[in-house]
This record gives sequence, structure tokens and C-alpha cells, in this order.
Amino acid sequence: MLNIEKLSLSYGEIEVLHDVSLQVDHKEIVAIVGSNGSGKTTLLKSISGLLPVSSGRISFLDVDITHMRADRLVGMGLCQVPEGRHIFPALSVYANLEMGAYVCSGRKARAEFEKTIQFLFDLFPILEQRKKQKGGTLSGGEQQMLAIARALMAAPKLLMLDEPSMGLAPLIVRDIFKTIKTLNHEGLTVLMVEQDVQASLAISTRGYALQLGRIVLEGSGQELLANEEVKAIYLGKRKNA
Amino acid sequence: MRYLLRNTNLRIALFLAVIPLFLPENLFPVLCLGAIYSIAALGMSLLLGYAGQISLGHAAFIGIGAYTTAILTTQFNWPVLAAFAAAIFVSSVIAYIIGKPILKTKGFFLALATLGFGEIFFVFTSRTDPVIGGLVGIGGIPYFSIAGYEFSSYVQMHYLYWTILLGLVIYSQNMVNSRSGRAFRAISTDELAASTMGIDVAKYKLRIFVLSAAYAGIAGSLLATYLSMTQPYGFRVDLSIFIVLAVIVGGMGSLWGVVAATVVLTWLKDEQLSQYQEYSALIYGIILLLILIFVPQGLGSLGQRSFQWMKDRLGKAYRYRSNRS
Repeated sequence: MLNIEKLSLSYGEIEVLHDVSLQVDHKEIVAIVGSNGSGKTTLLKSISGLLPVSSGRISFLDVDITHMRADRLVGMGLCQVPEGRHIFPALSVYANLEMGAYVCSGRKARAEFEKTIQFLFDLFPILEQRKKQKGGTLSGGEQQMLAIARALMAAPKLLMLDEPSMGLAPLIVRDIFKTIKTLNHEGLTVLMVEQDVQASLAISTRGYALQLGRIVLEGSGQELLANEEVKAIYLGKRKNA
Repeated sequence: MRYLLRNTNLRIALFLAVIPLFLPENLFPVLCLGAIYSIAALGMSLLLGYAGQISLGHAAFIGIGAYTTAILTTQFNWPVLAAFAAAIFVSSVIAYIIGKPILKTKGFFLALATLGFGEIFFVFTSRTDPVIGGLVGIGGIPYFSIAGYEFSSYVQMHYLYWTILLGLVIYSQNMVNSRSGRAFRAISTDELAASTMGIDVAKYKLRIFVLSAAYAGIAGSLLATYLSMTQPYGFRVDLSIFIVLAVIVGGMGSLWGVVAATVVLTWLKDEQLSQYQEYSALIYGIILLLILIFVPQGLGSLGQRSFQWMKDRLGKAYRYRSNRS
């Protein structure tokens, strides 16, 4: 579904992504894990067209999207939940969701809209309770749910999540990941970037480990979790333990 | 909601239609100028209040509208209506050309870039003597006329300007509540989020910039026919600031509030403070401070707030009485 070949990207003179290649297939959950500054967010932003790529090729559904603008990708079904959620704090929860459906227009979209919003309210009951409340008054976890729900309003084929666990309590992180898993069962393909290695790899079909802008490891979620090196680098366990 | 908005428009229109019957003669210029400046302020309200982009060079677009009208009517003998259309066109095209590079900047940088544009316009108009009269400007611009009917008295101009303004307010209200209106609000809160919603941020920013410049062009063209002359000094940075001030005083999200604020400020500027021209920056600054401290939502919010206050008061009295019985 998503194919990245030898992607490089620089901020000015400094190259931060070096020959990154990865792919996401239909109905997979793929996690990219890595520590601070390893280039995870940069990678996602380059896929979603928010940052210009220096070299390499990105294709989505067999269309070359390397230099496509962010807003056009949303119409193609590639939606991103940005890092730090970026909901609209002054708008109500409902209006935030409406904004998510911005790319859908026409009469058919109207009927579709009601269906999607009902589906999302079933998925996140708390959002239905708070639908008239302003986005900025929600708790962090609720805001993350709102951000995910808002991205889902555009009916994406591939959902990209940038650090869904950021700043959230462990229990809420667990809820969020459970929801991601549910959505995946419904047929949604997910690509996420995470620091919470354990939680994200546990639900992922496959994973990549990113270190200083290079992919250093790849494998199925379980494989990576069992991998000694991953344990050593990210989970803080000694190799010989 | 829609119905209510229309109702407000209707009430205001009725008010404006009968007001010439009661108003003292000397206030007509204020209403006419107020309407003209309101058109420009309305455009600024869309740009600043809804899309969150500032421009400190909007006087230049008013100037472009005024000069286009002046040149075409006095030197090429165009009918005023044609010159009016041309003025809107020219100011929009220039806004499009300069907006493309300028709108890549944000916040203070955008303010500075637009400020610079305004100064360039001033220097250009004041130095290009043979064509557009230099500092003296252009005089002898005819009154606004449609198919031979001339708007030459204050009452006629009053109806003309306010009709145009009313039309633009209704157009703006519809736009604000449309899909593009939502896009503008998204851009003003969070450009990153807006683009992940599938909104083409650059395109919409340019669109609103051009639209607000077109409003300014309309205002400029009307101003030229109203004053029957144009001068570079009429379109300097103090006019740009005046318009931004009107939007802040009126309330960022309230179109009629902005119109009301513009009329009041025009009255202050032209009637009360005209002999203190050199202190205008100081006075504007004080007004701005007072508004930001006491009515940060702008005068447009006052109506709603006093209504809310009354409702709370009455509610309390009612609860008190029903508790006693």
C-alpha cells in the first residue's frame, strides 16, 4: 500500500534521514520505534507531504506521492494524526469532527457523514457525551481520541499516527492502543511512530527500529519485542540478563 | 441561526434606510465615510478575524483602488462604473502578485512585509509626478454614477454606500459559514492541523488576502469619488492601522461589530480629533489598550454579553422568587 524507497531528507545542510526504505501492506499495523531525535516524526512528515524530500521515492496505492502536497494526500486517503494532537481548541468536539470531514463534499458525503460520526461515537463514547464541549477543555487522552476520530472522518485508507501515547497516562495509552487494534480489525491500515516500544510493538504486525535516521532493524512485532538488541536499546534490559 | 442573522441584517437595513430622515446634516459625512471605511474593515475582518493573517499595508490597496478610479476617470474619461470595476480588478491582481511570496511569512514578518508594501506604494505615488500628480495627487474625479444617474448629495451617497456595504456583509456572512469559512478558521487556529485536514493552506491564504484587497479596492474607488480627489498622504500607514484598529475594536469575529466600530472611529477621527492629527497614533494606542483590557472580544460581543448578563440577572430573581413561595 505504502512504499518508501531510499528516502533521504535534510534540514538545510544536515541530513536527518538516510536511505530509509519501508513498506506498509494492506490491513497491517506497522510501528516505527526509536528514541528522541531518531527521525520518526520527520519520516512521517515527509510521507504526509509536510516536509520536502531530498531524494528517494514514496508511493501510495501505486501512485508516486513523493512531492505531493499534504492537503491532496488527505483526499487520496492518507491521513495523519499530528504529534501533539493539534485539535482545534476553540471549536466544539462536534465541530472538530466536522472539520475532519472537510475533504468530503456532496450529497452522498452528507449521509456518509452521519454514519461515520455514529461509528466514531460508538468507538469513543466519551466524545459523544462531550460533543458540545470545546476541544480545548478535554483531557489529554480525550484530545488524542478526538484527534484520531477527526482523522477518521476523512475515511482514510491509511492512518498515520505520530506518537499517540505522548503525554498520556499508561492506562489511557492502553485504551488508545486497544482502539487502534479494533480499528485495524475493521480493515484500517495503520502506520505509527512511537516511543512506547512495548505497547506499540505488542499490537503491531510488523515493526521497524529507527536510529539516527537509519532503519537498523525490522521484523514482526513479536520478533522485535523478543530481539535482544531492542531490549537493550529501548527497553533498558541488559543483553546478558 | 441563519434566519436570525438575516433578521439582524434586515433590522439594520431598515434602520439605515430611515436614519437620513432624523440625522443632523453635519453627521452625514461621518456616515458616508464610515460606510466606505467599513468596506475596507470588513475585508480586514475576514483576513484578520477569520483567517488570522495580518496586513499593515491595506491602505495601499485602498490607494490602488482610488488611484485606478482617479486615473481612468480623469485621464481616460472612463465612466465611473467601469473605473469602479477596474479598481476592484487592479487591486485584486496586485494583491495576488504580492500575496504569493508575502504570505509565506507569518505573524510579525507578515506584518512587516505588508507594512513595507504600503510604504512602497506611498513612495511610488508621491514620486511619479507626470502621471499621477505626485504629492498633489489627482483632483476632479466625478461623482459616482450609474447609467447617467449621479450620486451627488450626501443622502444619495449614504444610500449608495450602505447598500454596497450591506451586500458585502451578506456575502461575507455566507462565506464565513461556508466550507471556505471553515477552512479559514482552521488556518487561523492551526496551520499544521488545517493541512492534515486536507485544506490547501497556501491557496486559502492567498484567496482571503486577494478578497480583502478587493474589498479595499472597492472602498478606495468609492473614496475617490466621494472626495473627488486622491493624494498619497491619504493612504499611508495610519489608515492601515485605523482599519486594523476598527477590526480589533469591533471584535474579531463580528462583522456588524466591525462596521459599528468603524463608524464610531471615523466619527472620532474626522469630527472630534481632526485638529489633533499628530497625536493619532497615541490616541489609537490608548483606544487599543482600553479595548484589549476591558472588552477583549470587541464591541461586537457587548450586545450578546449584556443580553447574557440580563438573562442571568432575571434568572436569579426568578429563582429567588420561586424559592420563597
